[in-house]
Amino acid sequence: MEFRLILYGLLLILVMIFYPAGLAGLYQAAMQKIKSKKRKP
Amino acid sequence: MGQTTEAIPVRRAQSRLTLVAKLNSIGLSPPILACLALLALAPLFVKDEYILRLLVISLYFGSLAMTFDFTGGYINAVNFGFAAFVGLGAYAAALVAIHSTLGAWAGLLAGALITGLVGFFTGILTLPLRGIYVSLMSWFVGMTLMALATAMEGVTRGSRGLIVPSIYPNATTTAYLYILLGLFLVIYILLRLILRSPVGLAFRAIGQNYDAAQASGVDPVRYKLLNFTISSACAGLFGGFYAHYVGIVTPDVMGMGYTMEVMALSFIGGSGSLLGGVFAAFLLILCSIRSSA
Repeated sequence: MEFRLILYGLLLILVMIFYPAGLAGLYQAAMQKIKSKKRKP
Repeated sequence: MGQTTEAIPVRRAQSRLTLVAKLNSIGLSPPILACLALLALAPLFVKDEYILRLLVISLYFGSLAMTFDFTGGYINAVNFGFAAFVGLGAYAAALVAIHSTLGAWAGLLAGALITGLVGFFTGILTLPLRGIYVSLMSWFVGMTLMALATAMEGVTRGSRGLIVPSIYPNATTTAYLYILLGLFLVIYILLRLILRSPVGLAFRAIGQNYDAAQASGVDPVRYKLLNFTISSACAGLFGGFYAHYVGIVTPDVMGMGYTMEVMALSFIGGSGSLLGGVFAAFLLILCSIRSSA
């Protein structure tokens, strides 16, 4: 539990600083990239 | 004749598209359905009891993160006493299962109802406040609930904990996985439907700009209260499941550490996404426990 909380704390700080949208934001950005690539001839 | 044979595949394609659109409207897009199917089929391929238990724990924490996100991600009210509500649901379900003949499912329902009720009154106390004060007040309510669970030894057996019977005799980990998956799906679809309704729009408006929402005619306290009550009731339901799954409920389950864990999963998954926390739970719990084993 303690090690898990340390890991979560570190990840939380990193996510807040570098990617506030989190994993869901990452997924949406990836999907948009795939869609825009499909649209290009 | 030729026209009818051509029309059948077109109709099939149209009905398929309608089905996909309907499923999308309740939040079940094809990638999400694929993940759910993978989880449902996991017990057929995974025979290791430890991994099955990890899957149940991951889904349990993911469900809690989703419920937490319903409040934190949409109305911007971070509930620091979240674990206490989960614990309250666990105690309520355990007490109904031990002292009545209504059965485990009635206990789960009672857990959800009682927690929803306590959430409603906590909301009346906390939600007219704004900013950090909501979190602080909910934290104090959570601490009070935890202290009560420890002190009321006649009812809760204090720190010795309540021994809870399983949901039905000889329930296996696979059975618990399917029960939790069912509960998760019901709650997820319910929350999605709420968020797609005008009520969900009001939640978003309050979360994004409180004053603008109020100026537009939205009653923030009323909608925040509704959101908090629903979130608390869902937390109580999952708490009831936890009591039956683990088989013992102690006041530790109401500790701040669990709230922090759920909060971290919710934010790492992405605030205001519902399912982000679920994916974060699977990713992090499976990785962290596997690496420490």
